[in-house]
Amino acid sequence: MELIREVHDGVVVVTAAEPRIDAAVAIRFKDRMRELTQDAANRVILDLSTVDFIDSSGLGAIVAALKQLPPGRKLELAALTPTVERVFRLTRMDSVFVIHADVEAGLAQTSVQ
Amino acid sequence: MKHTPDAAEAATLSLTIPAKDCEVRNALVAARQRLSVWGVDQDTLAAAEIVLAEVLNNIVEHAYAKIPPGEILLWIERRADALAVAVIDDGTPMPGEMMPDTPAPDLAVDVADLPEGGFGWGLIRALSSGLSYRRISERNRLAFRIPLSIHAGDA
Repeated sequence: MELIREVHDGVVVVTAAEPRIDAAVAIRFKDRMRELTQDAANRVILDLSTVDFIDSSGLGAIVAALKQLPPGRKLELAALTPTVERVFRLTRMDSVFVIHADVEAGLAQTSVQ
Repeated sequence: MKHTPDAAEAATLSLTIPAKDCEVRNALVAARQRLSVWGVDQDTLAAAEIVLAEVLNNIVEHAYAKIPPGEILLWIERRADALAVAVIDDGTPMPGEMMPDTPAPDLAVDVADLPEGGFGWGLIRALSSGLSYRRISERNRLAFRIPLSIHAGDA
């Protein structure tokens, strides 16, 4: 599970450098996200630009990644590819997460409701 | 004269998949490649992959949960207006020998209470048509269609 963490002006940006977040990697994704975000003092943006496919297990793992953040922190998503966007829309999970067109757009937004 | 496949020409795919997460992933990638060779459009390819992922994951996680994982037979035929799909396994039957009909999870809750599962059947129902389940001779048989060019039914 290749997840890359960077910090930009206090915002933790995690890039999922994987073609798929599915049942085969969902648990590893969730565990790795906990390691990478447990000290997040500010916002967390998950860059999904290289993820072509997600299933409901992967979706559940992203929800879990949100729920395990330090209290008061929110997980934002960036750069959903067409199939990933479709899964979020059909499950209405697009109403739960703040979704940015890309990481730059997310970083440009200084405060998120 | 250049030969182009007749749209009505039968195109079928059948795969035998060991019921394991990593094998499901390999089968999804292989099926997508084959459907792509058939000329199936991108939207339909994506819909098929989403539905097949949920159906196959359900079998791995539920039908074969309490017994040694067996095999899954996946059969796909391209028809004029849809992909016809049948999925057969030797696992335990669905509860009550019926497909679950639970409503979509409630998302209007505190973050701590957000659901991490329960989305699979919603995706299957949203993207397929003619869904049917039968328990026949100790086997589960799920059949459905994925309409070609699914735009209209996807909003």
